[in-house]
Amino acid sequence: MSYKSNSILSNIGMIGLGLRSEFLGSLLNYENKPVDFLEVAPENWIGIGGKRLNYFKSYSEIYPIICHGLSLSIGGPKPIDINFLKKLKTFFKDFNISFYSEHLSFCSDLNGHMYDLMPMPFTEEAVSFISKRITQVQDILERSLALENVSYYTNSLGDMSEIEFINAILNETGCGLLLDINNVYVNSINHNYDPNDFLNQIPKERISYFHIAGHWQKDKNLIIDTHGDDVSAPVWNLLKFAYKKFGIVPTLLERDNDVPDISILLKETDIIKKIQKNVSQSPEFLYGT
Amino acid sequence: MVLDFQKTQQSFASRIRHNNSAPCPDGIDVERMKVYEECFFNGINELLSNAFPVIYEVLTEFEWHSLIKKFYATHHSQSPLFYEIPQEFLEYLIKSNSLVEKYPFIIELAHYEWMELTLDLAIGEISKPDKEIDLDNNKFILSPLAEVIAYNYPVHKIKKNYIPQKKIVFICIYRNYKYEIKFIELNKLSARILLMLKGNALYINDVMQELINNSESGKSKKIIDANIKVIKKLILSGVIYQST
Repeated sequence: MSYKSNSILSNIGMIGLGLRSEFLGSLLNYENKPVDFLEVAPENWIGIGGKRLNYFKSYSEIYPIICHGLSLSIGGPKPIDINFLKKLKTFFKDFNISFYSEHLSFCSDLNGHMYDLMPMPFTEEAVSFISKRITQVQDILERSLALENVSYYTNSLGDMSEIEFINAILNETGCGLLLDINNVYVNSINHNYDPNDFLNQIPKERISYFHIAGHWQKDKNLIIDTHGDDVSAPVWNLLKFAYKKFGIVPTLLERDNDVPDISILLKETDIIKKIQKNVSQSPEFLYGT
Repeated sequence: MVLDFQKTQQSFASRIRHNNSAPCPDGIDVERMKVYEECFFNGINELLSNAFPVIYEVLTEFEWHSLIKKFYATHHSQSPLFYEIPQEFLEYLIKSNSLVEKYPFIIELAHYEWMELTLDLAIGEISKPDKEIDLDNNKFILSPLAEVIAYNYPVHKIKKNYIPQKKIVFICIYRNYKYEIKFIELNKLSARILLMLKGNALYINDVMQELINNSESGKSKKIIDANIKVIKKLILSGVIYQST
């Protein structure tokens, strides 16, 4: 079964923000929706009650909410957790979640969950292994999955490049690509490649939406994807490049560490808005080059 | 069958869990591998120090650090849900008996802190307690958002510089209608009353009668007077409420 047709995020606006506990109270106080849609990690919300659930219900009445998962471990060694998928499916239904994405990585070993993302070895064998699992997940959830390109720090283990690996999986499955612009930049520094060149090899029609976030430059050749700072200038530039290349794509800001006041985050989402406007009004965008 | 890339994955994961006690995967730079070891540890460490603030405060930095390291290295966490990691940690403490010689209360303290988190996220609502209490004409029941627990240590009093002596305490931990997590220390009899009302709506008079039937003679009036007061307080707090 192919879900290709709905692997693109559409009809929920162009600006998104990852919903975090730090501003659960304050974002709700804004009368005019300052962003178009919100994203949550289902692993932090499935099966809860209490005050948090009430917040979630309030947000789901105001904003379209999409899910960006952490624990699926699509590349992991243990069978896909069917029970977890069932919980996801119910959650999506209960809160009218229109879209679900995950990470092109693994986050568990044979012993269990490790609660963070590890990079896949880029090999043909891994491509075929993951592709089968993507199909399985899509069939059970009866919806398309989008996978995100992840940051990684160690040299890749395998004989393919990252972009070859991603494209091979897109080719074999109907899944979408959640293109994380910050991760492209982080990896371009960590692994010494040209980020524009990387983006040039992405199939435009498979892009679901964009993520953007801040990072921490630990040293000249190493950036850690902390989501703990403002978006850096080179990442804003790469976002501009991506819009010019792929058109204006829904873009979501993620912030997970040192979360500032919501007003600061909304300044950053305003920058996204401004870049989208500038690019869409630029002559080269309107008339082609 | 284990695929080639899965062997690589296993050795990658194993290095993150065990650090220097496991070999760095072939072909991977040790320093870059260390980034993963640190990021993964820091994530779990932050989550658990927020979840168990009292244990974190009571243990020395070294003890806490090695406890989290051992948990991360050896515990097989099965829950995909992040808010259930504290429960995985509690299970590890129970199974491993870590640090119980120096801190004999550690498992009970962890249970108490975990219970607070669990009630905070528990499904269910209770309404604002009625100020008018009619004990005679209504049945009462324990709130589903209240737990009555006997601990061997007064875990609710433990602080960095205050480790109480062993003494059995009965504590009710509950969530009130304002979503606040509270606790009340109970005497043995009021704990018994609450347990009788767990899942059972009863008339308070019947509960009292049963207590009197089971107690030594001559104390009945005293028991009723003392416990009616407690019951009224528990109703006003939202621990027990009128069953409809």
